Order: sequence, then structure tokens, then C-alpha cells
Amino acid sequence: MCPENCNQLDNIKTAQAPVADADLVDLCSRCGKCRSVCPVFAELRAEPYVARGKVQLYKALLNGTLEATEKYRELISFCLLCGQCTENCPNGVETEQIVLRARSKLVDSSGLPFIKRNVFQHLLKDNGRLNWFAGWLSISQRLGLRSLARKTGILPSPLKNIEQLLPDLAAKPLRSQLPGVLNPPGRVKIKVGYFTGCLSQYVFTATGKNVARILSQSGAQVVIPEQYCCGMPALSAGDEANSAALARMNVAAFQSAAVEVLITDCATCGSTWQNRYPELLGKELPFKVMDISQFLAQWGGLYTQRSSGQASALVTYHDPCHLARHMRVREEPRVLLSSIPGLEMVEMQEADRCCGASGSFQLEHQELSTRIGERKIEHILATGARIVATGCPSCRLQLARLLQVRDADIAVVHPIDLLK
Amino acid sequence: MALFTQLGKIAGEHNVFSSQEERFCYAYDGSYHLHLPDVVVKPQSVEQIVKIIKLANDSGTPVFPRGAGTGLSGGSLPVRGGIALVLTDLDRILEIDAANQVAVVEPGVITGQLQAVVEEQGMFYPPDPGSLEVCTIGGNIAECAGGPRGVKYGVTRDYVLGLELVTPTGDLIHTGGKTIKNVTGYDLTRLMVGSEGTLGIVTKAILRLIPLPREVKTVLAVFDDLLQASEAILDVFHSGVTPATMEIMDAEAIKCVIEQAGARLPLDAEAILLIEVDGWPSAVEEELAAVAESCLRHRARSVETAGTAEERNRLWQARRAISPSLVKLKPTKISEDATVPRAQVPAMIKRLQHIREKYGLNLVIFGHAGDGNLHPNIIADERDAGEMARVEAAVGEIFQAALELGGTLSGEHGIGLMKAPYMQAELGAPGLAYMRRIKQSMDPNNILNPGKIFLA
Repeated sequence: MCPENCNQLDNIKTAQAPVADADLVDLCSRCGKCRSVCPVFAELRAEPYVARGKVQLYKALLNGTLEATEKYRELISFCLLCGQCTENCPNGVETEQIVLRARSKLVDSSGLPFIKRNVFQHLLKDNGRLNWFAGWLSISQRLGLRSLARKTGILPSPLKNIEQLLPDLAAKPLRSQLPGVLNPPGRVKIKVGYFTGCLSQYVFTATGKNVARILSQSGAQVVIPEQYCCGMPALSAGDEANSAALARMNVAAFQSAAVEVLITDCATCGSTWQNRYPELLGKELPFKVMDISQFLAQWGGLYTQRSSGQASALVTYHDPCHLARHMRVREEPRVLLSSIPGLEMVEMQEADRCCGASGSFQLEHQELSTRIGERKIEHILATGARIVATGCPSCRLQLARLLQVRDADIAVVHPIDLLK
Repeated sequence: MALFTQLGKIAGEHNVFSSQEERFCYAYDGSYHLHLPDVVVKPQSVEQIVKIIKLANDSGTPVFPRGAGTGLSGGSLPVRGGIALVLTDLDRILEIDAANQVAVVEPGVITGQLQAVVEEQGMFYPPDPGSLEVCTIGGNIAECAGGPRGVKYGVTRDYVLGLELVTPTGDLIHTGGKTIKNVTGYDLTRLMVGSEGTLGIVTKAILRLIPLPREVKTVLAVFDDLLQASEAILDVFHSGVTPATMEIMDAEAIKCVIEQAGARLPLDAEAILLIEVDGWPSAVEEELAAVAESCLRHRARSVETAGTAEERNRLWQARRAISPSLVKLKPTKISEDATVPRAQVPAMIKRLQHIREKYGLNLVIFGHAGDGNLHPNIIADERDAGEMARVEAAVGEIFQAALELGGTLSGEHGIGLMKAPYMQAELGAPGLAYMRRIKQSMDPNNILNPGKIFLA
């Protein structure tokens, strides 16, 4: 992170609330340019749903014009935190930051809903309980309880929606299948930590194994310590306290392992580490944070050779918001994909437009999330590619779910899964 | 029956907002004022608009028509509560008639999107307000929006051939048509354009299109002296060139957009001119040479041509970013658009510099210098009462200067809320009374956008 940004974060830290808040919202000139890019606004077409509306709503909460009502909470929940408005704003107004602060204020004033409170407070910080829960879920899925529940319609409708979005869990969590330290075949060129994230840990374990293998093949010693949820689900719900607690636990785990670089294969985890942890903790991280594709572009020389033209399969790439805009990783995954023999990379339209998943947004606003995702699906289908790669497991779940609904025979993978 | 319920019956409940939080999101526009509507409604058809206007007349409720809410004079603000009538859902391009070079559109169509669609077919809709990516044709017509291309191509009024509109008493009428010539009765089309939503609600517009210029070239000329730059502007016209655009930015404006523009803009310059010439390629080359010569004659430090479309786009992004980016200096932006005859631009710039010094204000000068439509923007903090008093005095002097130089209060933003107190100074009492009588006779119940253009 650049020194300039760090200063900014420091200011926010020390000034605590009013002044810095005012500076954030006063940057908005109300020009309305965000109306041309906001994916939520494109669907709902009303001012409360666009970035300008959110910024003015927060300003009104700060100066007491509006109160933290249920309606207010509802309107503030309609943000993907995709960052597209900020990227297109003449003043770079940080709507995402403003929405997170608004949500945090709402939690301060009236707390979290029961389920979220218990998940953030008790489940995410306790791997024993989390593993037990995931194990139980995985077994029940494999025993066919899921199809039974679907057929009998036994679940009440809010739970049914959540159940439908729930991915199939792996039989065994990733970290229980990997050693704590993985050594490279030859000399140790660098010592990296692998932050598996919850989705590689419990859902996409094959991707997690690929990441660990490829890291070690590229000459890295890979440390995989005991670790926890990155905290973004809690933070996006406004629960700063629990996300800060998770940040502290995670930083401690990798700091004591003395890693030089922390590797993520999940865009959300990576950007939380890179952009949110320094602010939550009030200090810089003791190591660099890199997305796996970024790391390989710098360290994995073996993956940059393109072999001579064979009949190739088309692959297209979807930019996760957290990777493209938050971690500024756009080129590396594309270079990686283009370098794989037998694959031909083809760009889709609006590759960096949000797919609509946005973590728990898809639970709260399932129908809207699907509508936003549909536009992405159209763009994917238009490429004619048989494979779509993306560096974010949350996007991956959304794309796979929507493609399945269309009966489209298109594989959704992490770019790393395509490396031999 | 409550207003909310009646509106719900007309437009559907989900198209009516009554919560304070939702209404708050229609209390602002691109200016810095705030006025909360009592209710917000998004009609889905012309029939619904007619019903809403009749309901408003029956119940004596004021109606404030609104597009994307990007106006800079407070024209759409619900200054008396009432109904905020949001027209963005009527957004179909109904017809593009290539043979007659005419487009028929609904009021919620976004200006930039219309431009993209007609340009694909080799046609051109020139008006280009800074907010063209989001602003609507309906709003453009209400305010008679202009933009940089005004100098060569004119403004919105020059492209509106006919209208369908709902009158303030709820009748549906049409004006003009697809023909270039039309002298059948009063020119109501022209009267409606720029009437700021006080005389009717546009529900359909017939727009004139022209052939898309084959070639566009953009020149960036850098000056060490603001007045020299303004002299160069006149020289370009003397040389026989009518540039497509002729924009000026002063040192403060350059600073505000330097990030968007990248390294192309020099931070130590006192002024830059952004000039475009367009037309047939061979003519463009000759005009380009003449423009460069004029600038150099007036001691331009450098004159460069934007090489690629991307470079050109970047310069324009930077130019359009000036207005929004000024709030980086201070939160309250007072955007003026006092306009003078082109030959008075150097004199006007001198007067503005004098006002800036006299009141010790952040006064940024930029705008469409080629048509005399400058945008002196004052950047202040509304929480600072002393500063705001100086702002008010300075604004008064800006208007006075423009009028003394043979100009006008507003070139393209409209009178709205903010310039209403100065109307009489430009029009005189009988002139203003004549306008008022037009408003009174068309809107006897004073339903449509009351409190705008005229002081209460």
C-alpha cells in the first residue's frame, strides 16, 4: 500500500468519526455520474439505490436529519460494495467505505440480527465448532437430506432460500488434508503463507490443493497455520468488533510463522487483508499480501511460456470486484490464462462488472442478485467459451448457479485449476 | 383519501415513495440546496401523468418534475413539498427516422445513450451537457441544456422540432412536428424549451439530427497568461474557423482535474484552451493549422493535437470532471453560468479576476469561452456565514458584470431557485411581468414547479 493511503488511514483512525466522516461525504458533489455505472441502480432505477443516494443518506444520518430506522437499514443494505462508482467518480468518493460506516453505525445503535450475531460472535472465531458444523452439513448433504428437504418442502421459505444458495460442502476441510508446512522440490526461494479462506477450506478444496501444490512447485515454502475467517462477512454487516478480532487472530497466526508474503486465492479475503486489516488494526501488516496470480506473475517464471498453437479450448475471465478494483489485479490472471497450452483466452463484455453475488447480499436480496448476475451470464454465453475462470469463490458459486439454471455446459473454475 | 394512496392507485404502489428516507433521496440535485418532497412518484405512462396532474389541480398540490437530478440551478427541487414527479421510467427511443434525420424519444432517455444510438447510424445529436452520461432529454429540454459544442452547433432548443406535453391543467397537447419549417401559430415548442418545468411536462420530443462529422481533432493550447488565452479565442474566429468546441480552464481548474487528465496538463500554466475542429478531413486539417496559428500569435506556450481517440477522451473526461471535482477544495459549490457576447470574454475574465480578489474567494474560471458562456464557480463552506455573505455579494457582482457587458444571467443552467432574485435586473419590470402573465394564464392554480424562475 502506498504511503499516501496509509496517511489517510491514520487520519481516519486518530480523528475517529465526525470530522473524517464529513470529509468522506463532502467529496460528493451530487453530480450523479454514479447513476451510469451502479449495477444495483441499473436494476432498481431509483435514487435511494445509487451511490449518490447512499452518500447523502449517510450525510443525513451524521447530521441528524435522518434516524437509523428499519427503512434506513433496508436502503443501506442495497449496496454490492463493488466499488464501480468510486472508480468512475470524478472525486473518487469512497461509497463502499461510507456504506460500511453506515452499517457499523446501525449495528452500534441497534445491534445485529440474531443469526448474524451468533455466527460472527461464536462460529467464525472457533474452528472446532466451525469444522463440526461444516462436517455435519456435508454429511447431511451426502445422505440426501438436501434433496429430501427440497422434495418435501419441509423448510420455511427464508431458510429454503438460504439452503438453495448453500454450496455442496467438501467431505473433509482443506487444511485437514494438507501439512502445516509444504516444502518445494528444490531450494527454498521464498517463504509464503497460504490463507485458505473459508470457501477453499470447506467448498473448493481441490482449488486449495492446487494452490498449495503450485506454490511449492514454484519454489516457495508454503506455511498453512491454524487460521480463521477473514472477517469480511462480519464487516460488511457492520460488525467491526468481530472483524477486528478475526483480523488480530489471523495476523498473529501468520506473523508467528514469519512469512514473507501472504497468498490468497480468494479476492475478498485478499482485499480484506490488504485494504481493511491495516485500518481495523491501526497498523501496517508485517508482510505483503498477494493474490496467487500476482505471485505467480512475479515468481513463477515457469508459467509464462506459451506453447505452440494446438486446437484450443476457449476460456473467458470474470474480474471479481475485490480483485480488479480493490487489489488492482487485472492483468495477471489474463497473462496466466493465455500462457496455458491448449487454451485460448477470449474477453467478455463488461468483464469487471459485478456478478451480483457480493457475499451475503445474495442471501438478503436473492432475486436482485440473480438479475444482476443474469447480465454477466449473457456476456459469458456471448463469448462461446466453454470455461469461465474467476479468482473469487463467491463469484464462482454465483456464476455456477446461474449457468446451471440455464443448462449451459460451461465449467466455472479458479484460474489456478487450469494449470497442470 | 390520502395523496399517497391516490398516487398509488394511479402509478402502482411500488412506484410511490412515502418514507422519509426515500423522499430524502429526491430532495437534492446537482446544486447544494435541499428541499424534501411530501411524496415521490415514478409514473409509467403518459396517461398516469395526466391523472397525476389532474389530481394535483384538484387537491392544490404542487408538482415538481424531475429527471436524473443533475441540474445546477435547483430547477427540480421540491421547494414547497408536494409531489416529486420522476420521469426517468419513460425512457424509450420511439423512433429513429433516418430519412428525415429525426429521433422521437420519451423524456427519460439518457442524452449520452441517444447520442451513441444515432451515431451508430451516422447521425449526430450535438448538445453535450457535462452530465450527458446520466442526464435526461426531458431535463435538457426543461433547462435548454447546452455544452461545449454550443459554439458551433447551438443548444437543445436548436434541435427540438416538436413536443408532446401535459399542460399544467392536465391536457395532453402537441407542438411542432417533424418538419424543419413550421409557422402554424405560436412557436410553443420554443416557449417550452427552457421553461424549467413551469409550463408543461414533456412526454415526447421530436429531435432534429444532423450528419455525424467525419473527423474530429482536438487541440490543447497552453498559455502563461489568462488574458492572452482569451484574446486567442477571438483570433480563431477572425481567422474564419468556427471550432466545434472552445473551452477554457484557469490554473485552479487545472489543479482540480490533474489526476483525471494525467500528465497532459501543465500545473504551472495560467490557462489552457481545449479546442476541437470537426468536419470533412481535408477541411479539418486546414482549420487545425489556422487554430494553431491563432494560439501561437497570442503567445501560447505550446499547441498540441490529441493523437488518439483515447487521448481525446481523456482530455474531455478531465474537462467534464472540473465541475464535480471542485468540492475537493471546499464543500459548497456555487456554479454560475453568466454569459456574455463572445467579444466580451476578455473583459468578463478581467472582471471575474477583480471580483475574486475583492472578496477573497475561491473563484474558479472555466467554461465554454467560444460562445461566451463562462462558468465562474465559487467554492465555499456553507457553514461559514461570513464567507457565504461574501459569496452572495460576489454572485451579485458577477451578474452585474455580465449584464453590463451585454450578457445574460444564465447561458444553460437555467434560473431555477438561485437566480430568481436577479431576473428583473436583466428583463426589467414590464418584461418580467409579461413572462409572469404567461405562467399565470397557463397554470392558473400554480401547480407546476412553483417557486422557480419567479420569486414567490
